[in-house]
Amino acid sequence: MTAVRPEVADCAELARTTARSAGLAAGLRVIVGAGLPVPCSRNGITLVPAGCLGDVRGWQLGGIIVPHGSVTASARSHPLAATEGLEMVRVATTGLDHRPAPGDRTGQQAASDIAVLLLAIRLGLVARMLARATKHLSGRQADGQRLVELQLMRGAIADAAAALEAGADELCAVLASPAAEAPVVHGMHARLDRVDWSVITMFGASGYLREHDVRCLYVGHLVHDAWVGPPPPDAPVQFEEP
Amino acid sequence: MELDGDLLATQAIARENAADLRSRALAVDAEPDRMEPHVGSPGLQAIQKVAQPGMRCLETTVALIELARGDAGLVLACPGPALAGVIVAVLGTAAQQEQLAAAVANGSSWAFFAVTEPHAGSDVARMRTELRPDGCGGYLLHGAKRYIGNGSRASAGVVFARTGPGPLSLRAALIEVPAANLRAEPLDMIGLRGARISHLSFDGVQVPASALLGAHLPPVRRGMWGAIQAFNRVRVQVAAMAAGTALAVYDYVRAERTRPGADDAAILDATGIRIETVRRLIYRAAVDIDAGPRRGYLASIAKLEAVSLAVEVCGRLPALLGRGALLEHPLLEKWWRDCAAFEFMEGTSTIQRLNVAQGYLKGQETYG
Amino acid sequence: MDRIEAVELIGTVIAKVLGRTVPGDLSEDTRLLEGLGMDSTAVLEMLMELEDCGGFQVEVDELDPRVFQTMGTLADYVCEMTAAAGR
Repeated sequence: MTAVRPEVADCAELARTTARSAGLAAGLRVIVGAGLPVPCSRNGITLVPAGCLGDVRGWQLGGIIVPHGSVTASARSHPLAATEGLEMVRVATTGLDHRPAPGDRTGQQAASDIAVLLLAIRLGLVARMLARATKHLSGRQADGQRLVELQLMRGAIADAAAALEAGADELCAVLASPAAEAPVVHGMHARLDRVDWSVITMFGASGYLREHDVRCLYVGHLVHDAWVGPPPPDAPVQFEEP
Repeated sequence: MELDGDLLATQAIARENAADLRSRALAVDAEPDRMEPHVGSPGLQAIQKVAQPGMRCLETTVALIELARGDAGLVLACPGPALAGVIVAVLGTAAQQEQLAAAVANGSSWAFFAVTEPHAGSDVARMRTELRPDGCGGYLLHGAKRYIGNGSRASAGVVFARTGPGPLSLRAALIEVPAANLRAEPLDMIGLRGARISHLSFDGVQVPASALLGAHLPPVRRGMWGAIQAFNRVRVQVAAMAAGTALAVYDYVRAERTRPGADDAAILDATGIRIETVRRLIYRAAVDIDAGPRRGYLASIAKLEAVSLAVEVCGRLPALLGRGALLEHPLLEKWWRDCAAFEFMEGTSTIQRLNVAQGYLKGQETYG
Repeated sequence: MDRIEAVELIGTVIAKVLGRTVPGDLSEDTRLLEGLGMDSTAVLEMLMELEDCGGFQVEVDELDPRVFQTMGTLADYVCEMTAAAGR
C-alpha cells in the first residue's frame, strides 16, 4: 500500500523504531522534531520531552493551532513523567492574535496525525517491553516451572505479539487511506491499552517500581490521554478488538 | 444479598469518613512518611475501628469499600496491626495476640506481614528466608523479604521463614522492631505510595522460640496452612479496596460532569451498575470466608473481577472529562496509578485464574 | 495399613484434593507434582487428609521432600507412618 502522505509515513516509522530502541522521550522527540503542534488539555496542560521546549513549533489549544511564539510555557513537577524524561508544561496564549501555524495544517489534520504517530510510538514501546518481559518470565519460576512455560503466560505473550503485527499492518493501511483513520486508530489505541496492561503484569510487583523500565507504558498512557484523548463524538470507535 | 441494620450502620459511618480521607490523599501520596498531620484524624480513626483482626470479614469488607472510596492509599497508610493482626489471630496464642496489640497500641505504629521474597512471589515452596537454630533453643533469622507494606516504619511484624528443607517446614515468627541485624528500606513505587511498600533484610536477627506462631497447633497446621487462611481473607479485602478505588473515580467523574450528554450518561450509569455488581460479589466472598476461612473460591473470583474493573474504570472513565483529564485532575491520576497495585497484591490475576479453575473443577465442595 | 491400602488411600485423597478422578493408569512411578500438577497448597491439603485418614501426625521438620516424588515414595511414607502409629 502506498502512503497518501509519505512524510507522515516516514515519521511514523522513525518514531516507532526510535521508541523501540530508545524509549518514550526519544520517540516523542521525533514527533516534536517533525514540527507537529503538541496537543494540550482544555486548560493548556500537556507532557513534552524534557528540555524540548525550544524545538516545539506550535501547540494545539482547544482545536486551534497556536505558534510557539504566541504562548508562555511553564514547566511543572510531575514525578512519574520525569522518570521517563518528560516534563509537564502549562501553556497559555499571550494574545488573541494567532497567526497560521507553520506547516499549513488544520487543527483536525494535526490531531489525526498525532494519533497515528503516537500509535507508532506505542507499538515501538510494547515491542521493547515485550522482549524484556519474556526474558523476565524465562528467569522466574513457580511450582517448579519457568513462568514462560505457563500456558496462561504463553497466551498473553501470543496476544501481545499478535497485536504488534496487526498494529504494524493497520498503521500501513491507515496511512494509505486517511479518510478512514479515526475510528481505526482509536480502536488500535484501545487494543494497545489492554496489551500495555498485559505486558505490565508480566513483570509482577517488580514492574510496579518507579525504577523499572516498564514505567514507559504507564507514562505512555498519560501521553495518550493528553495528546489523543477519547475519540471525537462523530468518530466512534468501531470494531473494538476483544 | 441484603445487608442487615448493623452492617448498614457500619457502611454509613465509613461513607461519612470517605471525604476526610480523600482530602488527605494527595498529601500522603506525595509524602508518605509524613503521617503526623493525619494520625488521629476522623478518617484514620474510622479505618482503625474496622481493622480489628477478630472482626467478621463481611463487616470489615463493607466498611473497607467505603473507606477506599475515600482513598485506598490512606487505608493502607493507617497505623495498626493490619495483615499481621490477621495471621496472629489465626496462628497465635493469646499471649502473642496481646504482644502484637501492645506493639501497635499507641495508634501511631505499624505492623508488617512478610511473605514475598525477591525471587519467590507466589511460589512459597521456593522461600529462602531461614530460621536457623542458634544452639540455645532459639533461632537466627536470615534472608530478605520484598514488597512488604509498611515494612520500613513498623514496630512489629510477622515473618514467614523455613525451619527445614521441605515444602512444609515453614513457620511464622512475630518479631519486634527495631531489632539488631534487621534492615528495612522503603521502595519507590508507582502508586499506592501511602502503603510504604518496603524491602526487609535479616542478617541473623535473634528470634526466641516463643516468637514462633502455631506451636500449639498440629505440625502441618503451623505454617502455610494458617497463611493460606489469612491470604483468603486478605484477598477479599484487596478486592474491596480495588472496588473502592473504582468508586472513587466514578464519584469524582460524576461530580465533575453534572450534565453529561446521552452517551456519557449511559457510560456513567453502566459503570455504576458494574461497580455495584462487583460489590455484591465481594460481599458473597466475604460471607464464604466467615463461614470457613479456606473457602477461597469466591475470594479469588472477587479479586479477579474487582481488579479488572478498577483498572478499566480508572483508565477509561476520566476520558469523560476530556483530553488530558489525568493531568488536570491529580486525584484521578493518583487513583489510576494506585489501582495497578491491587493486581500485584495477594496473588496476580494469573494465580487467581488458576485458583478459580481448580475450585471450579473441585465443584466447590469440601472446605476442610 | 498395607501397601495396597496405602496406594488406594492416596488415590482417593488426591481425587478429593484435586477434584477430579485420578487417571486409571496411576502407577508407582506417577510423579505427583509434575505429573498430576499438584502445587504446594494441594500437597498441604493432601497431607492433612492423609493424617486424618491414616491416624498419624506428619513430622514436618523431618519430612524429606523426596516423599512427594512419586505415588510409590508417598505410599512408602504412608505405610511407615501408619505402622509407627500402630495402624
